Amino acid sequence: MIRFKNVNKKYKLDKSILTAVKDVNLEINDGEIFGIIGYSGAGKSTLVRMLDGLEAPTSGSIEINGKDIAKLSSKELRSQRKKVGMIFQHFNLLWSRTIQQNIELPLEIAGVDKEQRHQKAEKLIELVGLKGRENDYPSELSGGQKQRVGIARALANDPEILISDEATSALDPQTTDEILDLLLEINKKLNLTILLITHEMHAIRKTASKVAVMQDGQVVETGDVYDIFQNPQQDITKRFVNEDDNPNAKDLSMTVDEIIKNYPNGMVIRLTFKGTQSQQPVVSQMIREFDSLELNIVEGSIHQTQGGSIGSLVLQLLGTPEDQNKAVEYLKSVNVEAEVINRG
Amino acid sequence: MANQGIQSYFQFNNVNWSAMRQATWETVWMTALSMIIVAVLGIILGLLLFESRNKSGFGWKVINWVVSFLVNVFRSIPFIILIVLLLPFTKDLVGTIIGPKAAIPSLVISAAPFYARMVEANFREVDDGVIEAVKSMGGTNWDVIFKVLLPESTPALISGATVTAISLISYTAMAGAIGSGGLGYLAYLDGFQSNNNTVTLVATVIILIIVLIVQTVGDLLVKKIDKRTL
Repeated sequence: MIRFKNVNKKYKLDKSILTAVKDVNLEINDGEIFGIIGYSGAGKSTLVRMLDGLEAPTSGSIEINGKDIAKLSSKELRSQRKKVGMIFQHFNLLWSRTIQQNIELPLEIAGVDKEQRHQKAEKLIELVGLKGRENDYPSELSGGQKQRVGIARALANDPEILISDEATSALDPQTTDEILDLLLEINKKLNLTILLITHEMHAIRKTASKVAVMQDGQVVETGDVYDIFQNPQQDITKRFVNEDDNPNAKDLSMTVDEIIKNYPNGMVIRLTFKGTQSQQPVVSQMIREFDSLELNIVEGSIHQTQGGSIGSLVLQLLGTPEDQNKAVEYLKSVNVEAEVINRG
Repeated sequence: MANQGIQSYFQFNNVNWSAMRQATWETVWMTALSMIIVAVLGIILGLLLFESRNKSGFGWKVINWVVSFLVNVFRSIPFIILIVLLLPFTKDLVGTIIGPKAAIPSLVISAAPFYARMVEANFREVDDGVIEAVKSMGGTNWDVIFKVLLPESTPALISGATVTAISLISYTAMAGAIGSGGLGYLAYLDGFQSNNNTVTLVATVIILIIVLIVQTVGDLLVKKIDKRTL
């Protein structure tokens, strides 16, 4: 259990005071993948650095399993850090060491003997799928492979918590997915708590069960990823959800404009399906229900989150105005969220 | 006349080859021994400069100030003046003021600050992220020094040592002016003072060969150790 209690962090600048983190309260349960999302400068990294004891909060406390990180002696802090693995955006591997030696580094620091180090590193290399590359140097690997080394290294001391600080931000989309899958696999296999710091909603949606949205040093919204995706409250959260949901928002609005021009009497609606609804033939039932009803499909997408799937469908309803309105009522009656974008 | 014109460079029977061999050997070991001491001292001073640079404690500030001051002062004194200035110190330290042994203290004192600055700059080139990664693993400052700073900057430290060794070779020749022995001394004594231009030329060629060897060995080592690129 990680607990942030009224955490504030202020930096004294030459003439002003910069508040990097403001009154943050969070609880992260064991075995959970918890996402923290925000744009750069939102205070995410400061929060993580404080969790790792690299910086102390100005006020408030950060506890891991009841231990206040800021109150540990430097020796206790070093042994605490061994229980927290960390992976980074730029991997931070030592180029002078081979893959195997990089993974053994935390074990060397912990004073594990050579034989055990070797065995442990071999296991980890296999876990992250880099068998056969033990004696290569980081410069000989691709970005995704480097991050796999980073993950193996972070797991070397059997940590309780894994912090991923923008670990996929320097990778291409496909490699990002591979790394996220690996994180999910590790989370399930080792029952590891993972703290996922990112600015990509995609990464949160794919892996995290809970999320905190940060803006200007504050947590503005927090809860289950599934709920937040369905029903974002804050503007910034909506922006993140939209970015992921609908990266082609501009294309969509242009298409909608065109369709309205061609069929001025239709009604454009956006349907949101949750969980098992997305697997039911709601739309075809609706067409059969109302005789005059016809439709144009404008755009559709479906996303998997750890809490279930969320589908979205933009339609234009054509037919008599009564049937159009009744169709919307029908959708509401089967609990599909229907938002009218344009009434024709 | 033998001492005039271009012809004077090629009077090889005037060269005392055993003295030349002796002088070459003296130059080599003066350079090698002082370079070893310079490397050790330079890395220690460079590390002190690096570690004390951004620390807030009063003790660190004093260390930084003292080391920077000494480094700047000794780096600024022209070598030929430094060697004369240090004569009494050399006499107390090694018991003599002539011969290759007597040259070593001034060689070290002038080259170590030079190398220390290079070492500091090399350490600053080491990726902060990697240092932070080691700290986040629970590493101590010693872990950072021995597992990150030194191994990650080894190629740069070797390139710096190569440059320093080459300037040490030219310093040993200058030290010849006050009787240090070695090729510089021979060129000065037999070449200049006895008007034997061939000796000067041969000494020059040997020094060039030594420099070339040092540079080549340094470059090869760096190439072998550096794993940053494919």
